[in-house]
Amino acid sequence: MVRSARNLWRAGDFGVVILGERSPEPITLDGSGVALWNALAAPESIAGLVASLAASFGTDDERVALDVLPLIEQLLDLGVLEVAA
Amino acid sequence: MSALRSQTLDVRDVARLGLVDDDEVVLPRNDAWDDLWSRVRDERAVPLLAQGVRSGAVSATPDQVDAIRHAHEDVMRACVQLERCALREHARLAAVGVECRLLKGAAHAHLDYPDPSWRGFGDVDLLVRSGDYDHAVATLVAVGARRRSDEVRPGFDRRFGKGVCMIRPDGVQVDLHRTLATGPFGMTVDPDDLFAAAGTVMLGDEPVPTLDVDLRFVHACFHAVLGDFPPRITALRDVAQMLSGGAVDLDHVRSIVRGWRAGIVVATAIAAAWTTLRLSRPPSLDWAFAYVPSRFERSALAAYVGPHRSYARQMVTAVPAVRGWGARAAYVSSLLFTDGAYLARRDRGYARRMGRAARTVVRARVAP
Repeated sequence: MVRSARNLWRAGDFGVVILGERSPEPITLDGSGVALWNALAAPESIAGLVASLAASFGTDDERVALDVLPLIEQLLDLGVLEVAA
Repeated sequence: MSALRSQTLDVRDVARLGLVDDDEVVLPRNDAWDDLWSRVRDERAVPLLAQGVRSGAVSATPDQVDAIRHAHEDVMRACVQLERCALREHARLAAVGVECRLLKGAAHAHLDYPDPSWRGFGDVDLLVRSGDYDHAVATLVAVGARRRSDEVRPGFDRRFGKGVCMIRPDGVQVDLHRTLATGPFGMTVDPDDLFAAAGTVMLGDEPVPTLDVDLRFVHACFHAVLGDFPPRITALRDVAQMLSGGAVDLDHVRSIVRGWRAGIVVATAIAAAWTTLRLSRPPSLDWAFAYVPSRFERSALAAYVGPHRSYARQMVTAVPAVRGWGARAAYVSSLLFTDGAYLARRDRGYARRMGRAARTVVRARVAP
């Protein structure tokens, strides 16, 4: 899993504004969404991503997975994330 | 580090953020904040203020931080949408064989600032060759875009105009440029020079051609001095930002504009940027403050700045700058004997247009 190189995006105190290839409108990631965005600057497995975010936020993998997996699915649909080759 | 008192703060201090390290800014409160915030938005300086808050150089109340953050997000949302538009129009023109260069906002944001979030923009600017101009306009019209203003006469823009603002069906403004300015300084620019070298800006993973850094700097100067009067604060920041970045070859820039008889434009832009933003002047910029313009440069610049500036005066002052007697005659004839629809909208008759032209010529000769 990795951020698509085709994203058009900007970062600021508001979080990250992203226009993915299949996004009709820009989306904004904030809070833990920014941590996910930063973590996927380089290819990472879902398990590795979940473990990394759990460590960052001091919580368990299961809790993180519950929060993050739907977001990952949405971001894949929008073309913001893609499966790394 | 000196702390600025909040009641002396103005939008120029905002425009200096990130350019000068030693300023500490405290935002004012109440009416003074309302006034400043209104100016910051009018001057499109929200990203610079947001950057200042983010870096800790600006102290603000929680409400102010909220307002700045939301406004910055709105500006950046617009920017990424405009970049998508730029990619699509670049691809559309390339598909019909029209070469273009991405100008201004998006190029400056990615290439000339530490981060693109520092620089907002409100439209897409594309430069095309004169020979491709009509084809480029027709290509956009074919997909529903319309001109914002009429052409003086068919073929005028391709030979003599700066360009045209096209409005897409979705309301996005795409400015097609043929040269860098209206009026005399648009005529002295050799449009072929603008395609001699190219830079590249990455939008996503797509490389889009733009002007190389020296021409991009020249264009920033043209935009600052020959655009709005007084100059927009962010246009002056572009000039200062690019020179401070160290990539601009000022000797090369001066040789380019010497060939275009436009040295006064770059000198004025540098002097205005350094004076307005209260920057410390290095010796390498002394020439800009001591620049002695030619008679042509002085007369041409007066059409763009000061109390007697006007579009009509720019058109009249451009006559001596048109190259070749045949072209000059065609230029004058086009301005006097315009297309019927254009005439009906602007002057309502030829007699009125002739009268207006005569008055403009007299003013151009009398006024400094």
